[in-house]
Amino acid sequence: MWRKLLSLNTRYIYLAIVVMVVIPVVLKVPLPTSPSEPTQKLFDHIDTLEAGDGIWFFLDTRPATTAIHRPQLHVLLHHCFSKGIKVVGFNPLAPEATGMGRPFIQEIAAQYGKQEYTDWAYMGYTPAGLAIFSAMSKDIKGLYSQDVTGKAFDEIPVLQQFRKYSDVGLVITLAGLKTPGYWVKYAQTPYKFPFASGVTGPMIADQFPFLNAGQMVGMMGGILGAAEYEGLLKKNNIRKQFGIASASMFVQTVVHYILVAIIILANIATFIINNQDKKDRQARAEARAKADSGIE
Amino acid sequence: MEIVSLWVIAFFSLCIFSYLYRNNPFYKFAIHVILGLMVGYMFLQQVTIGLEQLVVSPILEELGRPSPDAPDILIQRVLPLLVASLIFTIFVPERRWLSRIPIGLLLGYGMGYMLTKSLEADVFKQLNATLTQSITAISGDSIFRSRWPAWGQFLPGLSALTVIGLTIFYRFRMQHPTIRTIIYIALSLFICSLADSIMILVGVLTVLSYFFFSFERRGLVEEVSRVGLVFMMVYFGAVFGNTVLTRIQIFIGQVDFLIFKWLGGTWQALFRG
Repeated sequence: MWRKLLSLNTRYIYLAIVVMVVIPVVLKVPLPTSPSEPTQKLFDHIDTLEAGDGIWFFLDTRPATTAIHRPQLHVLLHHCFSKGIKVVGFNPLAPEATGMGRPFIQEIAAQYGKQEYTDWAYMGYTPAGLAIFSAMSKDIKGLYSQDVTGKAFDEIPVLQQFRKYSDVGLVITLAGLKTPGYWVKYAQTPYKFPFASGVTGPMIADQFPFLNAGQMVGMMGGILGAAEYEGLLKKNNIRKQFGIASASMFVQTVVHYILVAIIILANIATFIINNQDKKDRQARAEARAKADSGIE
Repeated sequence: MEIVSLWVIAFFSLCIFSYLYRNNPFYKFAIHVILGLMVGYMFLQQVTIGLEQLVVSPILEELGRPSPDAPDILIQRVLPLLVASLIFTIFVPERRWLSRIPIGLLLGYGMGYMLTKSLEADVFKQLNATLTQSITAISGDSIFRSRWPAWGQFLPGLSALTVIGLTIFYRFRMQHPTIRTIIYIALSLFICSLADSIMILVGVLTVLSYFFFSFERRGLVEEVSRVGLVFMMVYFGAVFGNTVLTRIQIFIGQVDFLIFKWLGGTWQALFRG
Protein backbone atom coordinates (compact mmCIF):
# COMPACT_ATOMS: atom_id res chain seq x y z
CA MET A 1 0.00 0.00 0.00
CA TRP A 2 2.78 2.40 0.93
CA ARG A 3 4.65 1.70 -2.32
CA LYS A 4 1.47 2.40 -4.28
CA LEU A 5 1.13 5.69 -2.43
CA LEU A 6 4.67 6.77 -3.32
CA SER A 7 4.25 5.78 -6.96
CA LEU A 8 0.91 7.61 -7.23
CA ASN A 9 0.68 9.64 -10.41
CA THR A 10 1.28 13.31 -9.52
CA ARG A 11 -1.60 14.30 -11.81
CA TYR A 12 -4.05 12.99 -9.20
CA ILE A 13 -2.45 15.27 -6.63
CA TYR A 14 -2.71 18.24 -9.01
CA LEU A 15 -6.36 17.37 -9.62
CA ALA A 16 -7.06 17.19 -5.89
CA ILE A 17 -5.44 20.59 -5.39
CA VAL A 18 -7.41 22.09 -8.29
CA VAL A 19 -10.70 20.82 -6.81
CA MET A 20 -9.72 22.01 -3.32
CA VAL A 21 -8.93 25.48 -4.70
CA VAL A 22 -11.97 25.86 -6.99
CA ILE A 23 -14.58 25.02 -4.32
CA PRO A 24 -13.42 27.55 -1.69
CA VAL A 25 -12.80 30.22 -4.36
CA VAL A 26 -16.43 29.88 -5.45
CA LEU A 27 -17.67 29.92 -1.83
CA LYS A 28 -15.56 33.01 -0.96
CA VAL A 29 -15.55 32.45 2.79
CA PRO A 30 -13.42 35.11 4.50
CA LEU A 31 -11.04 33.89 7.19
CA PRO A 32 -10.10 36.71 9.57
CA THR A 33 -6.47 36.75 10.67
CA SER A 34 -4.87 38.47 13.62
CA PRO A 35 -2.34 41.09 12.57
CA SER A 36 1.38 40.43 12.89
CA GLU A 37 3.70 43.08 14.29
CA PRO A 38 5.09 44.29 10.91
CA THR A 39 1.59 44.76 9.47
CA GLN A 40 0.38 46.49 12.62
CA LYS A 41 3.36 48.85 12.53
CA LEU A 42 2.64 49.72 8.89
CA PHE A 43 -1.02 50.37 9.68
CA ASP A 44 -0.14 52.50 12.69
CA HIS A 45 2.32 54.55 10.66
CA ILE A 46 -0.21 55.34 7.92
CA ASP A 47 -2.74 56.10 10.64
CA THR A 48 -0.48 58.87 11.93
CA LEU A 49 -0.61 60.65 8.57
CA GLU A 50 -3.24 63.31 8.03
CA ALA A 51 -5.46 64.49 5.21
CA GLY A 52 -3.36 66.23 2.59
CA ASP A 53 -0.21 64.22 3.34
CA GLY A 54 1.15 62.03 0.60
CA ILE A 55 2.62 58.61 0.11
CA TRP A 56 4.64 57.19 -2.75
CA PHE A 57 4.28 53.57 -3.75
CA PHE A 58 6.54 51.67 -6.13
CA LEU A 59 5.44 48.63 -8.11
CA ASP A 60 8.76 46.74 -8.31
CA THR A 61 7.15 43.62 -9.65
CA ARG A 62 5.80 41.78 -12.65
CA PRO A 63 2.21 41.02 -13.71
CA ALA A 64 2.72 37.43 -12.52
CA THR A 65 2.39 38.59 -8.90
CA THR A 66 -0.85 40.52 -9.48
CA ALA A 67 -2.67 38.08 -7.20
CA ILE A 68 -0.49 39.25 -4.30
CA HIS A 69 0.24 42.89 -4.99
CA ARG A 70 -3.21 43.92 -6.14
CA PRO A 71 -4.78 43.08 -2.75
CA GLN A 72 -1.82 44.73 -1.00
CA LEU A 73 -2.20 47.91 -3.02
CA HIS A 74 -5.96 47.88 -2.54
CA VAL A 75 -5.77 47.79 1.26
CA LEU A 76 -3.18 50.55 1.16
CA LEU A 77 -5.38 52.69 -1.06
CA HIS A 78 -8.48 52.04 1.06
CA HIS A 79 -6.61 53.29 4.10
CA CYS A 80 -5.09 56.31 2.34
CA PHE A 81 -8.18 57.46 0.48
CA SER A 82 -10.39 57.05 3.54
CA LYS A 83 -8.09 59.47 5.40
CA GLY A 84 -7.70 61.90 2.48
CA ILE A 85 -4.05 60.98 1.95
CA LYS A 86 -2.80 61.55 -1.59
CA VAL A 87 -1.07 58.77 -3.48
CA VAL A 88 1.52 58.81 -6.26
CA GLY A 89 2.68 55.57 -7.88
CA PHE A 90 5.78 54.64 -9.87
CA ASN A 91 7.49 51.59 -11.33
CA PRO A 92 11.01 52.79 -12.25
CA LEU A 93 12.67 49.45 -11.55
CA ALA A 94 10.21 47.18 -13.37
CA PRO A 95 9.06 48.19 -16.86
CA GLU A 96 6.61 45.27 -17.03
CA ALA A 97 4.52 46.80 -14.25
CA THR A 98 3.60 49.92 -16.22
CA GLY A 99 0.20 48.57 -17.23
CA MET A 100 -0.67 47.42 -13.71
CA GLY A 101 -0.61 50.51 -11.53
CA ARG A 102 -3.22 52.82 -12.99
CA PRO A 103 -6.07 50.28 -13.34
CA PHE A 104 -5.43 49.06 -9.78
CA ILE A 105 -5.72 52.60 -8.42
CA GLN A 106 -8.78 53.44 -10.52
CA GLU A 107 -10.71 50.48 -9.04
CA ILE A 108 -10.42 51.93 -5.54
CA ALA A 109 -10.28 55.67 -6.27
CA ALA A 110 -13.72 55.50 -7.87
CA GLN A 111 -15.20 54.19 -4.58
CA TYR A 112 -13.98 57.26 -2.70
CA GLY A 113 -14.60 59.80 -5.46
CA LYS A 114 -10.89 60.55 -5.74
CA GLN A 115 -9.79 62.35 -8.88
CA GLU A 116 -6.76 61.50 -10.95
CA TYR A 117 -4.10 64.25 -11.01
CA THR A 118 -5.51 66.00 -7.91
CA ASP A 119 -5.74 63.12 -5.44
CA TRP A 120 -3.60 60.49 -7.11
CA ALA A 121 -1.32 59.97 -10.08
CA TYR A 122 0.64 57.14 -11.63
CA MET A 123 3.94 57.97 -13.24
CA GLY A 124 4.98 54.65 -14.73
CA TYR A 125 8.45 53.65 -15.80
CA THR A 126 11.64 55.62 -16.31
CA PRO A 127 14.93 53.99 -17.33
CA ALA A 128 17.16 55.46 -14.67
CA GLY A 129 18.41 52.35 -12.89
CA LEU A 130 20.23 53.05 -9.62
CA ALA A 131 20.13 56.78 -10.32
CA ILE A 132 16.47 56.98 -9.28
CA PHE A 133 17.37 56.59 -5.61
CA SER A 134 19.43 59.75 -5.47
CA ALA A 135 17.38 61.64 -8.06
CA MET A 136 14.21 61.21 -6.00
CA SER A 137 15.89 62.89 -3.07
CA LYS A 138 16.15 66.09 -5.15
CA ASP A 139 13.21 66.36 -7.56
CA ILE A 140 11.30 63.69 -9.45
CA LYS A 141 10.76 66.14 -12.32
CA GLY A 142 14.28 65.25 -13.43
CA LEU A 143 13.11 61.66 -13.92
CA TYR A 144 9.55 62.09 -15.20
CA SER A 145 8.48 64.67 -17.76
CA GLN A 146 4.97 63.16 -17.94
CA ASP A 147 2.82 60.57 -16.28
CA VAL A 148 1.72 57.25 -17.74
CA THR A 149 -1.21 58.88 -19.60
CA GLY A 150 1.10 61.41 -21.26
CA LYS A 151 0.02 64.41 -19.18
CA ALA A 152 2.88 66.82 -18.60
CA PHE A 153 4.45 66.91 -15.14
CA ASP A 154 3.66 70.60 -14.54
CA GLU A 155 -0.03 70.03 -15.28
CA ILE A 156 -0.47 67.46 -12.49
CA PRO A 157 -1.33 69.27 -9.23
CA VAL A 158 -0.67 66.33 -6.89
CA LEU A 159 2.94 66.14 -8.08
CA GLN A 160 3.74 69.74 -7.24
CA GLN A 161 3.39 68.97 -3.51
CA PHE A 162 5.36 65.74 -3.43
CA ARG A 163 8.58 66.07 -5.40
CA LYS A 164 11.14 64.42 -3.14
CA TYR A 165 11.40 61.94 -0.27
CA SER A 166 11.15 64.60 2.42
CA ASP A 167 7.77 65.75 1.06
CA VAL A 168 5.99 62.42 1.62
CA GLY A 169 4.90 60.67 4.77
CA LEU A 170 5.76 57.17 3.56
CA VAL A 171 7.55 55.47 0.69
CA ILE A 172 6.41 51.88 0.17
CA THR A 173 7.59 49.37 -2.37
CA LEU A 174 5.34 46.53 -3.47
CA ALA A 175 8.11 44.23 -4.52
CA GLY A 176 8.18 40.95 -6.37
CA LEU A 177 11.79 41.58 -7.31
CA LYS A 178 14.66 41.81 -4.82
CA THR A 179 14.40 45.60 -4.58
CA PRO A 180 13.59 46.34 -0.89
CA GLY A 181 17.25 45.77 -0.06
CA TYR A 182 18.26 48.34 -2.72
CA TRP A 183 15.73 50.82 -1.36
CA VAL A 184 17.09 50.43 2.16
CA LYS A 185 20.72 50.61 1.03
CA TYR A 186 20.60 53.39 -1.53
CA ALA A 187 17.62 55.48 -0.45
CA GLN A 188 16.37 55.03 3.10
CA THR A 189 19.77 54.88 4.82
CA PRO A 190 21.32 57.98 3.22
CA TYR A 191 18.17 60.10 2.94
CA LYS A 192 16.32 58.88 6.03
CA PHE A 193 12.61 58.78 5.31
CA PRO A 194 9.85 56.40 6.48
CA PHE A 195 10.07 53.32 4.29
CA ALA A 196 7.98 50.15 4.17
CA SER A 197 7.48 47.21 1.86
CA GLY A 198 4.83 44.79 0.67
CA VAL A 199 6.59 41.68 -0.52
CA THR A 200 5.83 38.25 -1.90
CA GLY A 201 6.22 35.14 0.24
CA PRO A 202 9.83 34.11 -0.48
CA MET A 203 11.07 37.58 0.45
CA ILE A 204 9.31 37.90 3.82
CA ALA A 205 12.13 36.41 5.88
CA ASP A 206 14.67 38.73 4.23
CA GLN A 207 12.89 41.86 5.45
CA PHE A 208 13.08 41.14 9.18
CA PRO A 209 16.69 42.36 9.60
CA PHE A 210 15.56 45.70 8.15
CA LEU A 211 12.51 45.78 10.42
CA ASN A 212 14.55 44.96 13.51
CA ALA A 213 17.15 47.60 12.63
CA GLY A 214 14.47 50.26 12.21
CA GLN A 215 15.24 50.71 8.51
CA MET A 216 11.63 49.81 7.69
CA VAL A 217 8.60 51.11 9.56
CA GLY A 218 6.46 48.10 8.60
CA MET A 219 5.84 45.34 6.12
CA MET A 220 2.99 43.47 4.45
CA GLY A 221 4.12 39.88 4.08
CA GLY A 222 2.50 38.35 1.03
CA ILE A 223 -1.21 37.75 0.78
CA LEU A 224 -1.28 37.04 4.51
CA GLY A 225 -0.09 40.59 5.16
CA ALA A 226 -2.86 41.94 2.95
CA ALA A 227 -5.43 39.78 4.81
CA GLU A 228 -4.14 41.07 8.16
CA TYR A 229 -4.40 44.64 6.88
CA GLU A 230 -7.99 43.99 5.76
CA GLY A 231 -8.72 42.81 9.29
CA LEU A 232 -7.27 46.03 10.68
CA LEU A 233 -9.33 48.13 8.26
CA LYS A 234 -12.49 46.32 9.38
CA LYS A 235 -11.57 46.57 13.05
CA ASN A 236 -11.04 50.32 12.73
CA ASN A 237 -14.30 50.79 10.77
CA ILE A 238 -12.51 51.93 7.65
CA ARG A 239 -14.11 49.11 5.66
CA LYS A 240 -17.28 47.22 6.47
CA GLN A 241 -16.37 43.90 4.86
CA PHE A 242 -13.35 41.73 4.24
CA GLY A 243 -11.80 41.65 0.80
CA ILE A 244 -10.20 39.20 -1.58
CA ALA A 245 -7.14 38.63 0.63
CA SER A 246 -9.18 37.33 3.58
CA ALA A 247 -11.21 35.12 1.21
CA SER A 248 -7.94 33.71 -0.12
CA MET A 249 -6.87 32.77 3.41
CA PHE A 250 -9.62 30.15 3.61
CA VAL A 251 -8.43 28.62 0.33
CA GLN A 252 -4.82 28.76 1.51
CA THR A 253 -5.75 26.99 4.75
CA VAL A 254 -7.50 24.16 2.92
CA VAL A 255 -4.66 23.69 0.42
CA HIS A 256 -1.99 23.83 3.09
CA TYR A 257 -3.79 21.18 5.13
CA ILE A 258 -3.78 18.92 2.06
CA LEU A 259 -0.11 19.61 1.35
CA VAL A 260 0.90 18.95 4.95
CA ALA A 261 -1.11 15.71 4.95
CA ILE A 262 0.57 14.60 1.71
CA ILE A 263 4.03 15.47 3.06
CA ILE A 264 3.40 13.58 6.32
CA LEU A 265 1.98 10.54 4.49
CA ALA A 266 4.88 10.50 2.03
CA ASN A 267 7.42 10.69 4.85
CA ILE A 268 5.70 7.87 6.74
CA ALA A 269 5.59 5.80 3.55
CA THR A 270 9.28 6.45 2.86
CA PHE A 271 10.20 5.53 6.42
CA ILE A 272 8.20 2.29 6.35
CA ILE A 273 9.45 1.28 2.90
CA ASN A 274 13.06 1.99 3.84
CA ASN A 275 12.65 -0.18 6.94
CA GLN A 276 11.08 -2.98 4.92
CA ASP A 277 13.85 -2.82 2.32
CA LYS A 278 16.47 -2.89 5.05
CA LYS A 279 14.87 -5.99 6.62
CA ASP A 280 14.60 -7.66 3.18
CA ARG A 281 18.28 -6.98 2.48
CA GLN A 282 19.27 -8.40 5.87
CA ALA A 283 17.11 -11.50 5.32
CA ARG A 284 18.62 -12.04 1.86
CA ALA A 285 22.16 -11.61 3.22
CA GLU A 286 21.45 -14.15 5.99
CA ALA A 287 19.92 -16.58 3.51
CA ARG A 288 22.94 -16.25 1.22
CA ALA A 289 25.33 -16.75 4.14
CA LYS A 290 23.40 -19.87 5.21
CA ALA A 291 23.42 -21.22 1.67
CA ASP A 292 27.17 -20.57 1.34
CA SER A 293 27.94 -22.26 4.65
CA GLY A 294 25.65 -25.17 3.62
CA ILE A 295 27.61 -25.59 0.36
CA GLU A 296 30.90 -25.57 2.24
CA MET B 1 -13.76 43.63 -27.25
CA GLU B 2 -13.41 42.96 -23.55
CA ILE B 3 -14.84 39.46 -24.08
CA VAL B 4 -12.20 38.77 -26.72
CA SER B 5 -9.40 39.81 -24.35
CA LEU B 6 -10.91 37.64 -21.57
CA TRP B 7 -10.94 34.63 -23.90
CA VAL B 8 -7.37 35.26 -25.04
CA ILE B 9 -6.15 35.47 -21.42
CA ALA B 10 -8.14 32.34 -20.51
CA PHE B 11 -6.78 30.47 -23.53
CA PHE B 12 -3.17 31.18 -22.61
CA SER B 13 -3.82 30.41 -18.93
CA LEU B 14 -5.28 27.02 -19.81
CA CYS B 15 -2.43 26.34 -22.24
CA ILE B 16 0.06 26.89 -19.41
CA PHE B 17 -1.99 24.74 -17.02
CA SER B 18 -2.02 21.94 -19.63
CA TYR B 19 1.62 21.32 -18.70
CA LEU B 20 0.36 19.73 -15.47
CA TYR B 21 -0.93 16.87 -17.62
CA ARG B 22 2.14 16.70 -19.87
CA ASN B 23 4.35 18.79 -22.14
CA ASN B 24 2.37 19.59 -25.27
CA PRO B 25 2.39 21.95 -28.26
CA PHE B 26 -0.20 24.28 -26.67
CA TYR B 27 2.07 24.84 -23.67
CA LYS B 28 5.10 25.45 -25.90
CA PHE B 29 3.12 27.88 -28.03
CA ALA B 30 1.91 29.80 -24.97
CA ILE B 31 5.40 29.99 -23.46
CA HIS B 32 6.90 31.34 -26.67
CA VAL B 33 4.15 33.92 -27.10
CA ILE B 34 4.38 35.11 -23.49
CA LEU B 35 8.17 35.37 -23.59
CA GLY B 36 8.12 37.22 -26.89
CA LEU B 37 5.41 39.55 -25.62
CA MET B 38 7.38 40.32 -22.47
CA VAL B 39 10.59 41.07 -24.35
CA GLY B 40 8.74 43.14 -26.95
CA TYR B 41 6.90 45.13 -24.28
CA MET B 42 10.12 45.87 -22.38
CA PHE B 43 11.87 46.83 -25.62
CA LEU B 44 9.05 49.20 -26.48
CA GLN B 45 9.21 50.74 -23.01
CA GLN B 46 12.91 51.40 -23.38
CA VAL B 47 12.49 52.88 -26.86
CA THR B 48 9.46 55.09 -26.15
CA ILE B 49 10.49 56.24 -22.70
CA GLY B 50 14.24 55.87 -22.69
CA LEU B 51 14.92 57.13 -26.18
CA GLU B 52 11.97 59.18 -27.27
CA GLN B 53 10.95 60.90 -24.03
CA LEU B 54 14.33 61.33 -22.41
CA VAL B 55 16.59 61.92 -25.42
CA VAL B 56 14.88 62.72 -28.71
CA SER B 57 12.03 64.95 -27.47
CA PRO B 58 14.22 67.12 -25.19
CA ILE B 59 16.76 67.59 -28.03
CA LEU B 60 14.05 68.59 -30.52
CA GLU B 61 12.41 70.82 -27.92
CA GLU B 62 15.69 72.60 -27.18
CA LEU B 63 16.54 72.97 -30.87
CA GLY B 64 13.10 74.49 -31.47
CA ARG B 65 13.87 77.38 -29.12
CA PRO B 66 15.09 80.70 -30.50
CA SER B 67 18.49 80.36 -28.75
CA PRO B 68 19.15 76.72 -27.96
CA ASP B 69 21.73 75.84 -25.32
CA ALA B 70 23.92 73.63 -27.54
CA PRO B 71 26.61 72.67 -24.96
CA ASP B 72 23.87 71.64 -22.52
CA ILE B 73 22.21 69.36 -25.11
CA LEU B 74 25.56 67.91 -26.15
CA ILE B 75 26.65 67.03 -22.62
CA GLN B 76 23.29 65.96 -21.19
CA ARG B 77 21.71 64.13 -24.13
CA VAL B 78 23.93 63.60 -27.20
CA LEU B 79 27.16 62.47 -25.53
CA PRO B 80 25.47 59.87 -23.27
CA LEU B 81 23.53 58.59 -26.31
CA LEU B 82 26.74 58.19 -28.32
CA VAL B 83 28.56 56.44 -25.47
CA ALA B 84 25.58 54.11 -24.88
CA SER B 85 25.44 53.33 -28.62
CA LEU B 86 28.98 51.94 -28.45
CA ILE B 87 27.47 48.81 -26.86
CA PHE B 88 26.26 47.78 -30.31
CA THR B 89 29.88 47.49 -31.52
CA ILE B 90 29.78 44.12 -29.79
CA PHE B 91 28.36 42.82 -33.06
CA VAL B 92 31.38 44.09 -35.05
CA PRO B 93 34.37 41.81 -34.34
CA GLU B 94 37.01 44.41 -35.25
CA ARG B 95 35.48 47.10 -33.03
CA ARG B 96 34.25 44.92 -30.19
CA TRP B 97 36.65 46.55 -27.72
CA LEU B 98 34.63 49.80 -27.91
CA SER B 99 31.69 48.08 -26.18
CA ARG B 100 33.78 47.86 -23.03
CA ILE B 101 33.51 51.64 -22.56
CA PRO B 102 29.79 51.86 -21.70
CA ILE B 103 29.96 48.56 -19.79
CA GLY B 104 32.92 49.84 -17.80
CA LEU B 105 31.16 53.13 -17.05
CA LEU B 106 28.05 51.32 -15.83
CA LEU B 107 30.03 48.88 -13.71
CA GLY B 108 32.24 51.58 -12.29
CA TYR B 109 29.29 53.80 -11.42
CA GLY B 110 27.42 50.89 -9.89
CA MET B 111 30.37 49.69 -7.84
CA GLY B 112 31.21 53.15 -6.56
CA TYR B 113 27.60 53.84 -5.69
CA MET B 114 27.21 50.49 -4.00
CA LEU B 115 30.40 50.54 -1.93
CA THR B 116 29.69 53.82 -0.21
CA LYS B 117 26.08 52.94 0.66
CA SER B 118 26.41 49.23 1.45
CA LEU B 119 28.76 49.67 4.37
CA GLU B 120 26.37 51.80 6.36
CA ALA B 121 23.13 50.03 5.46
CA ASP B 122 24.26 46.39 5.38
CA VAL B 123 27.02 46.37 7.99
CA PHE B 124 26.93 49.20 10.51
CA LYS B 125 23.18 49.49 10.97
CA GLN B 126 22.70 45.72 11.17
CA LEU B 127 25.64 45.31 13.57
CA ASN B 128 24.27 48.09 15.74
CA ALA B 129 20.83 46.49 15.85
CA THR B 130 22.20 43.01 16.60
CA LEU B 131 24.48 44.16 19.41
CA THR B 132 21.95 46.60 20.87
CA GLN B 133 19.34 43.89 21.21
CA SER B 134 21.81 41.52 22.83
CA ILE B 135 23.13 44.16 25.25
CA THR B 136 19.67 45.33 26.29
CA ALA B 137 18.72 41.70 26.80
CA ILE B 138 21.48 41.26 29.37
CA SER B 139 20.68 44.55 31.04
CA GLY B 140 17.08 43.50 31.58
CA ASP B 141 15.09 44.14 28.45
CA SER B 142 14.18 41.77 25.67
CA ILE B 143 11.59 41.18 23.03
CA PHE B 144 9.29 39.13 25.23
CA ARG B 145 10.38 40.32 28.68
CA SER B 146 7.19 42.34 29.12
CA ARG B 147 5.17 39.09 29.08
CA TRP B 148 7.19 37.40 31.84
CA PRO B 149 6.03 37.17 35.49
CA ALA B 150 7.64 39.52 38.01
CA TRP B 151 9.97 36.92 39.52
CA GLY B 152 11.31 36.02 36.07
CA GLN B 153 12.86 39.48 35.64
CA PHE B 154 15.74 38.45 37.94
CA LEU B 155 16.43 35.19 36.11
CA PRO B 156 19.08 36.36 33.59
CA GLY B 157 21.16 38.26 36.14
CA LEU B 158 20.85 35.60 38.82
CA SER B 159 21.76 32.73 36.52
CA ALA B 160 24.69 34.70 35.04
CA LEU B 161 26.04 35.37 38.54
CA THR B 162 25.61 31.69 39.42
CA VAL B 163 27.54 30.59 36.35
CA ILE B 164 30.38 33.06 36.91
CA GLY B 165 30.66 32.47 40.65
CA LEU B 166 30.56 28.69 40.48
CA THR B 167 32.97 28.58 37.53
CA ILE B 168 35.53 30.51 39.55
CA PHE B 169 34.86 28.34 42.61
CA TYR B 170 35.01 25.18 40.46
CA ARG B 171 38.19 26.26 38.70
CA PHE B 172 40.16 27.24 41.74
CA ARG B 173 38.71 25.14 44.54
CA MET B 174 36.91 21.84 44.18
CA GLN B 175 36.39 19.50 41.24
CA HIS B 176 32.98 18.46 42.51
CA PRO B 177 30.59 16.94 39.93
CA THR B 178 27.57 18.49 41.63
CA ILE B 179 29.05 21.95 41.16
CA ARG B 180 29.57 21.14 37.48
CA THR B 181 25.92 20.09 37.15
CA ILE B 182 24.72 23.27 38.82
CA ILE B 183 26.91 25.31 36.45
CA TYR B 184 25.35 23.59 33.44
CA ILE B 185 21.80 24.10 34.76
CA ALA B 186 22.47 27.77 35.54
CA LEU B 187 24.06 28.24 32.10
CA SER B 188 21.03 26.66 30.40
CA LEU B 189 18.67 28.87 32.41
CA PHE B 190 20.75 31.91 31.49
CA ILE B 191 20.68 31.03 27.78
CA CYS B 192 16.93 30.24 27.86
CA SER B 193 16.11 33.44 29.71
CA LEU B 194 17.90 35.47 27.09
CA ALA B 195 17.05 33.15 24.25
CA ASP B 196 14.58 35.47 22.69
CA SER B 197 17.12 38.27 22.14
CA ILE B 198 20.50 36.63 22.41
CA MET B 199 19.32 34.06 19.87
CA ILE B 200 19.88 36.69 17.22
CA LEU B 201 23.50 37.19 18.27
CA VAL B 202 24.04 33.43 18.55
CA GLY B 203 22.48 32.95 15.12
CA VAL B 204 24.63 35.65 13.51
CA LEU B 205 27.88 34.32 14.97
CA THR B 206 27.20 30.66 14.26
CA VAL B 207 26.04 31.29 10.69
CA LEU B 208 29.10 33.48 10.03
CA SER B 209 31.31 30.69 11.37
CA TYR B 210 29.74 28.31 8.82
CA PHE B 211 31.05 30.48 5.99
CA PHE B 212 34.53 30.87 7.45
CA PHE B 213 36.89 29.07 5.03
CA SER B 214 40.24 30.58 5.97
CA PHE B 215 41.18 27.43 7.86
CA GLU B 216 39.80 23.93 8.15
CA ARG B 217 36.88 23.75 10.53
CA ARG B 218 37.65 21.22 13.23
CA GLY B 219 36.59 20.57 16.79
CA LEU B 220 34.67 23.41 18.45
CA VAL B 221 34.50 25.53 15.27
CA GLU B 222 32.94 22.58 13.44
CA GLU B 223 30.30 22.15 16.15
CA VAL B 224 29.54 25.85 16.23
CA SER B 225 29.13 25.95 12.45
CA ARG B 226 26.70 23.02 12.68
CA VAL B 227 24.55 25.16 14.97
CA GLY B 228 24.72 27.84 12.26
CA LEU B 229 23.57 25.23 9.77
CA VAL B 230 20.52 24.56 11.92
CA PHE B 231 19.67 28.28 11.91
CA MET B 232 20.02 28.34 8.12
CA MET B 233 17.79 25.29 7.73
CA VAL B 234 15.11 27.03 9.80
CA TYR B 235 15.44 30.07 7.51
CA PHE B 236 15.21 27.96 4.34
CA GLY B 237 12.18 26.17 5.78
CA ALA B 238 10.47 29.51 6.38
CA VAL B 239 11.34 30.66 2.85
CA PHE B 240 10.01 27.41 1.38
CA GLY B 241 6.77 27.67 3.33
CA ASN B 242 6.24 31.25 2.23
CA THR B 243 7.07 30.32 -1.37
CA VAL B 244 4.32 27.69 -1.28
CA LEU B 245 1.96 30.38 0.05
CA THR B 246 2.85 32.67 -2.87
CA ARG B 247 2.56 30.01 -5.57
CA ILE B 248 -0.81 28.86 -4.25
CA GLN B 249 -1.99 32.47 -4.16
CA ILE B 250 -0.97 33.03 -7.78
CA PHE B 251 -2.96 29.92 -8.68
CA ILE B 252 -5.93 31.18 -6.64
CA GLY B 253 -5.75 34.46 -8.58
CA GLN B 254 -5.89 32.61 -11.88
CA VAL B 255 -8.76 30.37 -10.78
CA ASP B 256 -10.63 33.46 -9.56
CA PHE B 257 -10.13 35.05 -12.98
CA LEU B 258 -11.17 31.93 -14.89
CA ILE B 259 -14.35 31.39 -12.87
CA PHE B 260 -15.63 34.89 -12.22
CA LYS B 261 -14.19 37.05 -14.97
CA TRP B 262 -13.92 34.61 -17.90
CA LEU B 263 -16.89 32.25 -17.35
CA GLY B 264 -18.93 34.84 -15.47
CA GLY B 265 -18.21 37.56 -18.02
CA THR B 266 -18.99 35.25 -20.94
CA TRP B 267 -22.29 34.16 -19.30
CA GLN B 268 -23.27 37.79 -18.78
CA ALA B 269 -22.36 38.75 -22.33
CA LEU B 270 -24.27 35.83 -23.87
CA PHE B 271 -27.41 35.70 -21.73
CA ARG B 272 -27.78 39.08 -20.12
CA GLY B 273 -26.48 41.33 -22.85
